Amino acid sequence: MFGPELKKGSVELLVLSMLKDEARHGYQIGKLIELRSSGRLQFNPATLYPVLYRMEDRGWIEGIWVEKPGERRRCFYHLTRDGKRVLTEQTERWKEFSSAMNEAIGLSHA
Amino acid sequence: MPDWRREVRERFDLPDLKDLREERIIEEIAGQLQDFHEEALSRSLPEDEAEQYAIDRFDWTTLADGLNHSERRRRRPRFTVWTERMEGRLRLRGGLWIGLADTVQDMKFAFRQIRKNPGVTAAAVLCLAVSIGGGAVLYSTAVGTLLQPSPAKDSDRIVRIYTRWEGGNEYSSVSLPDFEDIRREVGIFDQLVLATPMSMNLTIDDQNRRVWGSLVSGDFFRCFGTEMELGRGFLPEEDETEDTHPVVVISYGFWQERFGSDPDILGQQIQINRYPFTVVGVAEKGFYGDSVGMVMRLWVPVAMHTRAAPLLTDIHKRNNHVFRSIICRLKPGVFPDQAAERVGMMRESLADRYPDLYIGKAFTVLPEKEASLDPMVRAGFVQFISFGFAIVALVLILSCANVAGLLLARTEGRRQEIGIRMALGAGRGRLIRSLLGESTAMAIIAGVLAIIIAVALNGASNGVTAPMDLPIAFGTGRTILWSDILFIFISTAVATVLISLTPAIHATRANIVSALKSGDSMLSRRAALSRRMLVMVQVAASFTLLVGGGLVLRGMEHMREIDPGFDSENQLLVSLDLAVQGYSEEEGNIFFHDLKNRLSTLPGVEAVGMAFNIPLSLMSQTHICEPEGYEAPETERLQVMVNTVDEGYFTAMGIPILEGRSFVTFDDEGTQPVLIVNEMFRDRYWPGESPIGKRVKHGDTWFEVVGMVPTGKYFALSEKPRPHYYYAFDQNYLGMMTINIRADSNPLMLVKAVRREVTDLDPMLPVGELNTMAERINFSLMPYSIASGVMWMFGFIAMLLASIGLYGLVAYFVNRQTREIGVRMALGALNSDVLRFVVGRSMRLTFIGLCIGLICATGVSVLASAAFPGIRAFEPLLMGIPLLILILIALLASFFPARRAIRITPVDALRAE
Repeated sequence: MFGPELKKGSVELLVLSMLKDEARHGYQIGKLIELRSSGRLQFNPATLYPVLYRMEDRGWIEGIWVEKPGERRRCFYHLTRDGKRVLTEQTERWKEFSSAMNEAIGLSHA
Repeated sequence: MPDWRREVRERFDLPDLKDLREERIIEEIAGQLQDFHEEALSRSLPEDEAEQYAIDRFDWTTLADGLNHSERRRRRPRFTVWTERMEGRLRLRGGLWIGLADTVQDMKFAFRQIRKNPGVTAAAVLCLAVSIGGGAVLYSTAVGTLLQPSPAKDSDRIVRIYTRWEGGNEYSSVSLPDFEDIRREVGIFDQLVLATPMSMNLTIDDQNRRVWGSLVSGDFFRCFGTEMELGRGFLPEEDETEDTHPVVVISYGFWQERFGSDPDILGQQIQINRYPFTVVGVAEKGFYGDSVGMVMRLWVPVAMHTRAAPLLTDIHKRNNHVFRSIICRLKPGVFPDQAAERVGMMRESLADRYPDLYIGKAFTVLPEKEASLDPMVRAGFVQFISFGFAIVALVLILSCANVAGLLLARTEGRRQEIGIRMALGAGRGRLIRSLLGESTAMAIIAGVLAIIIAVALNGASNGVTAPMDLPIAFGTGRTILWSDILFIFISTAVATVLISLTPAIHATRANIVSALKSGDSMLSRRAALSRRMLVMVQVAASFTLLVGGGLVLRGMEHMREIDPGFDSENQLLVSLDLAVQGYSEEEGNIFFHDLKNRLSTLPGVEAVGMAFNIPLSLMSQTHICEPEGYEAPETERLQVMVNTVDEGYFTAMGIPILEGRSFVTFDDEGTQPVLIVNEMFRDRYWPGESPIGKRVKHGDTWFEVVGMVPTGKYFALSEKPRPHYYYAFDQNYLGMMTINIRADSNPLMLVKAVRREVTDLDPMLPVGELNTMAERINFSLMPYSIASGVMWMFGFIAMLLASIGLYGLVAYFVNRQTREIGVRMALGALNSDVLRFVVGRSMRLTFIGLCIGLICATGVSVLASAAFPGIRAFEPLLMGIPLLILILIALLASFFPARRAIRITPVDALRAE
């Protein structure tokens, strides 16, 4: 488990990458992060929803209400064009940052 | 299953949310709770535990905070959201686009800062906008007149000749014989022409209308290099023999307006002063005449003067100076200086031939660039414009000082932030840009406002017309041009640079270490110095403006107090030109007498009189005379201003007869020619004697003085007392007279009745605008009322801004020196010592500001006294009152911070550390 400070700067990147392949609703996003990080990254939904709304306001993602047969209505989020661009850019920056960090602390060849 | 929606509603409060939005969030969170609940149930938890499990998944306080925060962001104006997205996109593009994104960010920050202090910012921006807008209008007026190129082509080769009277007018009119002699004997000109403006009566389709045209000599259009849209200019023979070639050239504008651009206009006849003239040409588009600011509709050869200008009589007399100027085109290779020299030699030769006529008389030769705007007008105009620019410059400096003061205070507030950013490696350029943001934002707002102000002012000034029949067209119809807009933006840019200079300098000089420390630092010390200087500038500027406003107001009052020597109340004026209607002297006499009889019986009319020149109409007539028994020194020219009036004039104008009698009906052509002189005439030529019975010679006639009236104002309110005399109308018939009617109440009530009476007598006679004497006097005072209004308005704003600046500065001192003050008080300093310490500082600044202000105010006074007659350059009271007001305001502005200083306790002082 990581402290909140470490996660703070990367929430947006995390959420965007969860939506990279398909549209998902809030519960799925939270679960998927947990699943992909083998339970090491957990988000309290209290943090997730404000982030989703903020990203929607910025035009990175868009929420659409979908009602599937036999299920209740859910809001599915998908990436917009801007969102895709931001995702690419943030992923690049993250790669650079982590490799720089790794090099700096002597893990690059480990 | 629990009602999750109700659970959510109970658990947090979303005050900032709109209903619809709230519904959506509640539904989504409730859905998520249900998911957790189902998850728990699927792990076989009992119902109550599953419910608790779902609720515990949420940190409700964090959620409420987060949602409220994101909602507040969400409800930002659409523009802000848009700029944010824009900025984000620019950053994504990288490279140079990031610079642009930074700029967007700086501007956003700037507008946020402006919004925080809307009052002070608005005052500063308004000041800036008004000064830039006012400057633009002045600039556009200056460009439209002073800098307007001559209407002549290749105007470097044009010079104009005027008559110069020793100790008098340098740019006076010229006589026909002088023109002819110069043309014949000075061989350095390609063309040499006369031109003089003339009001003419035009009849088209039985409709009469007064238009302004020029009487010009034959080579006129060739001299100006004017092409013809249609037809031709004048032929040499058309200006050789008098009264034989009634031809006219009309202006392009007139051809369009009155003749609908009729292509068959050539050869058509138009009636000028009821005499048929044949149109031989239409001047090229844009040609308005020989003088900037005077729009002529038609041109007639001088040889046709008896028809086109019946008022001009005896034009062949050498001492009859009736033509405005001689316009000459120099031969190639001849310079204006040579022309002046040759014309000077010509004058000597003429003086040898006619010694009597050239006493005190010479010629002025002006290059075209100084003469295309009539030099008499130019002089006054230059003074007025330079006075205006002085005010605008002052207000601009003041506004910039204000804005700079504001920005400096803000930079000061951001001192630590700047230090941190520099420590983190922020580039100096980036920092300066971020600091320039606010001033740029202010300048942009001011620039846009300035354009609005300039358009409005321009509209207002175009609406001003003189209540006299003159062909003046300064600014009329002029709209704001691209050049004006460019000027506005250049001024805005200059203002921005001026504004940003100080804060930017401070920011770039900041010492990181000292900036990071919260105590005294280089930056803050420098900033404080600049703020002190700015406050001084504000004090100085507001003082100067207040003094200036007072001076101009005093000037206006002074002018209003001047006794014009007649009763200006309730006078209605009607100008009639019978000469141009082809009336003979006999017919004219009958008409005027009939009209006066009819008018005097109208109800509400107290008296009726008439005069050739109504005082203060910017028109004058002078005659050379010989008062009997007066021995003039050799250099003195006995040129006296004269007028022709009827027997009712003095009563109607309320001018008392001091000695002798007024004119009477039997002062006519069959009796002894008589005159009435003014007191100044008596004092100058027969001091201490009674003028009654004495004689004055004009031409070959001896006139007997029958009365004396007080000296009044004839040409302008500001003129010095001058000798003047009146001819009797019945002995000196003139076809163009102004009837003055004194009413018992508002004279404008009579306008309709007067028009009716004139039309009854002659339906064809054009009656122009009727106006009152009061209107003419107010018109002559208009520059004063505008100038004083503007200066006081700015002075007041400046005073307000200076006091805000002073207050801010003193409060800042007190804040910074809390520790020092606290220590002093702990060591036994009395309240009065602290007061003296704090107030003394602000008063020192105020006094220095006032000293600078005194110097500037003296400069403005000197300018004002030149531009507005009647203003003295030094008025102690007008300096004293603003001085006291500003001292009082400075005391008041430092009082509140000083009171806070007294209340500082040693504990506060320690806490401040």
